[in-house]
Order: sequence, then C-alpha cells, then structure tokens
Amino acid sequence: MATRLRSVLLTLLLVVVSPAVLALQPIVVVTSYPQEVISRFEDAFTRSHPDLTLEVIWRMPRDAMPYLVSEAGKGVDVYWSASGRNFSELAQRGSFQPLPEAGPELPAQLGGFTLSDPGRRYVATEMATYGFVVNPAYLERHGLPVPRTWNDLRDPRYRGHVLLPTPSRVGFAPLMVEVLLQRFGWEEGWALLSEIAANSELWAPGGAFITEEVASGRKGVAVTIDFFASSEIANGAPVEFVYPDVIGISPGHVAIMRDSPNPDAARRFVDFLLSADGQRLLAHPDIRKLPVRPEVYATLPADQFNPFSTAARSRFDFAQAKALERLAVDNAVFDAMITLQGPRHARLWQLLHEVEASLRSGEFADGEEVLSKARALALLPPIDEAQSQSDEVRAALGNRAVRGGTETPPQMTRLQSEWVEAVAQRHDSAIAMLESLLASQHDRSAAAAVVR
Amino acid sequence: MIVGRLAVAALAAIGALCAAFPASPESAAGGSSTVAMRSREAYSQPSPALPADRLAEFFLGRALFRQVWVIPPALDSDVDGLGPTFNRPSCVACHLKNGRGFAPEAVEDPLRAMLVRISVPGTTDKGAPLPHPAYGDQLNDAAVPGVPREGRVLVNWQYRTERFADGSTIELRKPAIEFAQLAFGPVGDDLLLSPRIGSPVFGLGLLEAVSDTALHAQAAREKPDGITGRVNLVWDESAQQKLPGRFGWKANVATLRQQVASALLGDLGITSPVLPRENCPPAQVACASAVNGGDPELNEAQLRSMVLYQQALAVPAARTADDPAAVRGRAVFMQAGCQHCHLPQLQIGTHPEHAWLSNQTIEPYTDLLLHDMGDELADGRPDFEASGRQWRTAPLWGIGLTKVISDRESYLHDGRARTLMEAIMWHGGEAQAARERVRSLSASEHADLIRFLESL
Ligand code: HEC
Ligand code: HEC
Repeated sequence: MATRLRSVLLTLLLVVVSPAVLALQPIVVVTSYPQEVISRFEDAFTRSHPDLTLEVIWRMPRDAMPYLVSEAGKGVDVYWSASGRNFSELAQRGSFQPLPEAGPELPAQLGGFTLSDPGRRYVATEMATYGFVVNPAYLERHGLPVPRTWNDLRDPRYRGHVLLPTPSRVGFAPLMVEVLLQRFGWEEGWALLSEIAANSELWAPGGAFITEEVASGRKGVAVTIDFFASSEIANGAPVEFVYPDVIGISPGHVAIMRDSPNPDAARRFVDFLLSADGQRLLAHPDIRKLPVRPEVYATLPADQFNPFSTAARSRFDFAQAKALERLAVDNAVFDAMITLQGPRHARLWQLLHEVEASLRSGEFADGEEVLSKARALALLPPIDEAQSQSDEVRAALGNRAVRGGTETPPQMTRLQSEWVEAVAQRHDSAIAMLESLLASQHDRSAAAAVVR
Repeated sequence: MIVGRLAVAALAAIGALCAAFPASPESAAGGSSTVAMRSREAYSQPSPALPADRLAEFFLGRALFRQVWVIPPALDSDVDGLGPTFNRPSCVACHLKNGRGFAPEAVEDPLRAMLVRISVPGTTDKGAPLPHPAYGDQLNDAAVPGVPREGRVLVNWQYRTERFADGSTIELRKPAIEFAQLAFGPVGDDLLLSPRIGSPVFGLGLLEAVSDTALHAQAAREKPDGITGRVNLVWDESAQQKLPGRFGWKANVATLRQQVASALLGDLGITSPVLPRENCPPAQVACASAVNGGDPELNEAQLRSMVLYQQALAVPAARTADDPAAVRGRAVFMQAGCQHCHLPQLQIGTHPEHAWLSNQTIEPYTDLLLHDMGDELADGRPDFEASGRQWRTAPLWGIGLTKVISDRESYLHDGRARTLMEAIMWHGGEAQAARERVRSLSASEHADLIRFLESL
C-alpha cells in the first residue's frame, strides 16, 4: 500500500502537464438551456476542440438581460438561448458583433417565420414548434378522435379533457398565442383561444411537466411546445405528438457579444453549433429540438418531424417584431378574458354549447338570434387589434411577458382591471340571455307536455 | 389546489407507465418502492408508496435537483447562490437522469460528472479527513467570475491487460490524477486524494431504513473467502453525533439530509441550514468576499424537498426471471461468492421519518459495509473508519440500465471500468477469491454472469 500511495503522489508531484492543456482558452457562454442540453454540447464541443473550454453562466432570460448589459457582462463571449425578445433587444442596443454571412445551407426564413436576424447579429441554432401532446389510449377510452387542427379543440366533446398553458405563467406560451392571433386574426384568434379554454383546464406550473399530465392519463390532450413532449416520447412515455395545421416556429439563437474577450474562439463555438455535428446533437432523446440545417434531417430517424418539408403547408407571414412587442398585452388580454373570469367563463361556454346542441336538434326556432348575440359577446376580446399595438396600452402593461414561478404576481394594472370588469359584464349579459332563452324553452316544452 | 392536481397526476402516471410489464414478486427490487420500468426514465420515478400528499414536495425537490443554479445576485433569488467555488452548477450534471457520473476520456477533458476529494494526514475533531489548509476537502475546479478556481484536475489513463483462464484477455485502465493551474500554491507532498464519480441516486430512502443493528450484525457475521466487513461511523451535522455511514463510495455519509447538504455546499457552493457557511478556506480571500445568494442560500423547505426527492426515487424492477441466460448467470454469481458482499436481499427496519419506506425486504445487492478491495482500487485516503483500501459494497440494483440511461458505461468509484467485466476484474483484497473464480470461468459462463447483472 505504501508504494501504491507513493506512486500516486509521485505523479502528482511531477505534474507533467502537456502545454496544450494549460493553454486551454475559455469561452464564456451565458445560457438558459437545461443541463441536459448544456452537458451534451459541452462534451461534444470540447472533444472536437481540445484547445478550448466552455465556461457556462446560467441565467433565466429575464435575469440574463440585466447581466449581459452590466459590467460583469463584459466578460461574456457568447449568448446562447431561446429568448427571441432578449436577442432582438440586445441587437438593437448594439450589444452583438455581426456574424459572418451564411450560405443557403442555413435558411434565414422558414414558412414565413424569421429564423435569423437579417443583419446577422444573431442567428438561429435550433427550432421548436407548437402542437398537441395526446394520449391515444385515453382518447380511445373516452371515444374521442385525435385532434388534428386547432379548430378541432373547440369541439365541446373535448370539454374537461384538455390542458392549456396559461401564457402569463408558462414560458413558451405567449409566443404561441401570438402565432395563433396572427394566423387567425385578432378577433378570430381570441375566439379560438376562448373556446379551447372552455374545454380546458389551465396549466400554470411551467411547461416542462405538462406532458406528464397526459402521459399519466389524467388528461387526453395538452397544448404544448414540441420538444418537451418529443423528449418524453423518446424516453418512453406512452403519448404521441400531433403537429396541427398551424405549428409556428420558435427559434433559439446564438450571438457573439460586442465586447467578447475571445471572439475567435467564440466564433468556433458558433460554427460548431451550426455544423452538421452540432445540429445532430439536437435530436438526442433528452433534447429533441429541431435542427436549422435542413440537410441534417436526412441523417436522422425517418420518424423525425421535418419542418422544412412541411412549412409550406401552414405558411403565413409572421411579424416577429410586432409579436415580441405585444406579448405582455396578449397575456393581459388572455387573463382578463379567460383566467380571471374563472367559473363565469366556464358557465358561459356550458350554456352556449347547451343552446347550440338544442338548436341542432331543432327544438327552438327563435334561438338562433339570441345565440349569435351571446356568442359575439362571449368571444369579443376587451380591446381591438389597433389598441393592442398602441403605445399607451403597452406602456400601461410593461413588457415582461412571463412571470417567474416564484415571483409574486405584479399588481393588476388599472387598465387590466377595467378589461376584466368589461368582459365580466359582457359575459354576465350573455349568460342572462342564454339562461332566459333556456328557461322560456323549458316553459314551452313543459306546457307542450301538459297539452299532450 | 395545484398540489392536489399534481398528486393525482403523478399517481396516475405510475399506474399508466408501470403497465409496461407486470412486476413479479421476485422482481420487487425496492419492495413497495419498485417500478416495473426499463426506459430512460426508470431511475426517475416517484415511489408508488409515496403518499399522494407528498408528491408536490417531491416535484419541488426534483425541480431543484434539475435546476442549474445561478450566480448571485440575481432576480431568481430562489435559485441563486452558486459558488463562489464549485464543481458543477447542478446536481443533474453529475447525476444525469439520476444515474452515475463518468470519468473524462482524454487528459484535456475537464471533470464533468466527477470530483476529487482531498485531505492531509490526520483527522478533524469529528474524525473526518483533515481538510487541506488552502484547498479544503474537495478540489473545486470551477468558480464564479472574479474568484479564482482552485485548480484543474487532469486524468491520465494507464492501461494494462488481464488474462482469463481460457486465454482471452481484457484491457483495464487506471487513472493517474494530476492537478494543474493550482491557484493557491502547491498542494504539498503529503496530499491524500480520492477521485470519485457521481453515484446513482435512486432507492436511497430504503438504504436509509436499514437499521444500525442489521448493519452491525451483518458485519459480525462469519463469511467465507476471508471476507470481513466494517460499519463506517461518520459525523452527522444534524444529529451532532457519529452514525453508521450508508452513502458515498466509502459509506462516508450517514443520512440523506447530510448527503444533500454536503453535495450542495461541496459540489455547488450552496449554503443550507445544515451547512450555513460558504466553503472558503482561509487562503481564499476573493472567495470569502464574494456576494452570496442569501443566508443560507437554500431554505429549510427547499432542503427538505430535495431530501424527500432522494428518499422517494423508486428502484426499477429486475427482469432476471424472463431471461434464461440471466437465471444461469445468477447461479454463476452465487458460485463465485459475489453475494457475500453484494447481498441479494436485505430486511430493512423502520425509516426514521417515513413509515411507507419501512419494514420490508429489498434487493439492493449491497451490505453497505466497507471491504478491503486491494491495492489496485485503494485510494490511500482514509475517510472516518474507512481505510485507504476500503470501499462500500456498491449496490447493483438497476445497474443493468446504465447504458440505456447514461448513454455510456462507467463503473467503480473513479469510473475506470468501462464494462461490467472490467469492474469485476478490478476486484481484489477481500474480493480476490471471487474475482479468481470469475477468471477461471468459460466464455459462456462469463456471458451469463453479465446477462444477470444486466437484468438487474
Ligand atoms: C461534481 C459532481 C457532483 C455534483 C454536482 C453532485 N454530486 Fe452527488 N455525488 C457525487 C459523487 C462523486 C458522489 C459519491 C460521493 C462520495 O463517495 O463521497 C455523490 C453521491 C451522492 C449521493 C449518495 C448516493 C449513494 O448511493 O451513496 C447523493 C444522494 C447525492 N450525491 C446527491 C446529490 C445532490 C442532491 C446534488 C446537488 C445538490 C449532488 N449530488 C451534486 C458527485 C456529484
Ligand atoms: C468483498 C466484497 C465484494 C465481493 C465478494 C464482490 N464485490 Fe463487487 N464490489 C465490492 C465493492 C466494495 C465495490 C465498489 C468498489 C469501488 O468502487 O472501488 C464493488 C463494485 C462492484 C461493481 C461495480 C458497481 C458500480 O456501481 O460501479 C460490480 C459490477 C461488482 N462489484 C460486481 C461483483 C461481482 C459480479 C462479484 C462476484 C464475482 C463481486 N462484485 C464480488 C465488493 C465486493
């Protein structure tokens, strides 16, 4: 034992370190990717770049922003994250240095969505899309078809079987709402969301665990961003992911900081992220993001979803800047129209569906008019599209899109309480209309029964 | 309200996911904390026995275990406090998917799921290894900006070949550890060091329920092949006394509360109610003056949830019975004498906190005792009662899922073994007789033995 110990110590004392090891250059990366992602990229990158080492500083997007513009941020080489808002804001502040031009192998646009900054200050490294995670066994048990489109989820048969993330609480959801609003239009978009919400339980505990609720068989469908679900599927969860008619594209980006102490090394990291090898890592079961380099899909398993081959299907021009500016407004509208109405919203939709069902079975002829009035009241958002983009409204709501799980909710602004109040009044009058319609119908059929 | 919802969900999850295959009584590796699952999430399930009203706390613990911690100050004040010096920024970095860590392949690779414990000869007044005056008891190879990292660890592999009786061979590799870029001067020539990879972290609540008497009785029991077995006795901060050690490669920690708190402080630099002072040896001035993330950085409720998470992670059921080769392999395992240390069954006692973990039979394939494993595995660094040649018998439950869950294999305390057979061929000391029996087996018996281990 003594000799053994000595030999261990001897190696220690000699410290014959190869010069390459000591000359390792650090690249300081700020990111909010989870450890699973960081570890795999760190590992593969340093293996193929033995002269470089990564130093990762982890910050949530809302924490990364102040850090990157502070004095401490001057030591950062690379910002690598999925936070379109931060990238666009930092680019506007001139915090990034431009990246070299890319060839056609890295498209800057997809299906009307901007992937990379046209000025090349930041570029997409990965993508995600929105859709439904479904539990086929659950749906079959409840005699429900697998939903294929967003409109499918309006069907009252899904009532109670759906989970819908609350956009003010779940990080990925605000952009998804904005995609739907832009695709279907402001009013029709809110009508869609309101009606889907009527079938749903709202989900606030963060996006990561929504799939488990479906895998567990507690719900049949959850609206989600794809990678949480795809990763659980790759890890064995008994669920499927449906890419519906509108999927959106939510890219994650990378940029090199203007003050990067080590820009050459930083560029090699960016090159690696965009290389075929780096892109292939995205398909790992614990990551499951979508590569931005189209040729890589050919090397992935055949069942891998390829947005490049399907993007044309749901193509529309998504106005990125407009979206980023109004996420906080959208959240406030969603909460005023849906979340904060609580049981009132549910009651209204229950009545609407009840009357619709009676109408379909031809029971009362004069219902049509009442119904369409009530529907209009139910579906109307508290503000119109023009207001949603007005400076006053934006100023009143601030620009923080999502509250952290532990942060105390900010005071509701006066504006927002006004919306809540206005919606409540509309809902109440719609409820009253529908109730009296049903009551009169009830009287009539009771009378008819007596006559008979 | 959310609590209730989560609870129901997770319970249902267990039901749904476990429908994968029926658990035979034989495969109840973790007693009532067994899940019949062999997927990449098999180490990550809450125990089916965990009461539904504790699930929300379990999930909070899970979130903290997966959290990448933030350098203070930060808006996310719940999860700031990383450093000043640390090894990795999250628990999952070293325990990916609740599995084991690994050693670096090339000398220039940093330690990603491994750490090096250090000390100088002697013990503290509590009997712990004496921390190095400048570097403490673990080399922290990372630090927050503005604070020097203590140094870098380089792992050089030395290779040699072992021969089986049938003439076939196996290549073994052994790490030689070097330190570089030491920030506070040379470590000195009396340094003791012990490289260790992260160990799997499921089923630990059950091991916490093994009674002290059972440990002492097993140690006293007569065993063949010159096998003994010693209970480590280690200082526990919360209990303020020495208790039998159960966790860590040398059974150098007695309770999960202590284990979690010392991982938080030692590996991530996060203070907690158990260990409230930052880990800055006197020489490290910048470390001591760095901003911290609260006092302590992790509160009692958070700590409790992390401990519960470790206590409640279920054990994947073994699948031996389904595979004739594995059944034959179990016979080989017994004939070779492995079971004298890797006890196939243990009767556990009353868990100090949780009735739902208590009083059942489990199949951990460990006795939790220390054994002299010979020169080749020795680290020469005593740890409480454990000598420089002794290690805790590693539990073998769930070991067959290593490749599936961790994407790679790495066994033994320093991750030197790349296959199960390499791990076996490193056994020496008290396990030498067992190893020699394995050496003399035929190729098909070898294959069966490995199939058995893979079925666990
Ligand atoms: C730098 C790598 C690293 C990090 C980070 C890390 N661990 Fe560990 N973990 C280890 C090593 C190495 C061991 C074995 C320790 C020993 O032998 O002393 C271990 C052992 C454990 C054990 C005991 C397992 C057993 O079977 O005995 C638990 C529990 C544990 N860690 C929990 C945690 C928690 C909780 C965190 C986060 C606060 C954490 N670890 C972070 C490396 C790490
Ligand atoms: C004298 C007690 C003893 C006997 C007998 C013994 N082992 Fe072990 N085993 C240990 C200890 C202690 C370790 C941990 C050693 C280390 O990490 O350095 C271990 C580790 C292992 C590991 C690696 C576990 C891990 O988590 O990395 C495997 C596999 C293993 N043993 C299999 C066997 C087999 C198969 C046999 C019979 C041929 C056997 N052992 C016999 C004590 C024993």
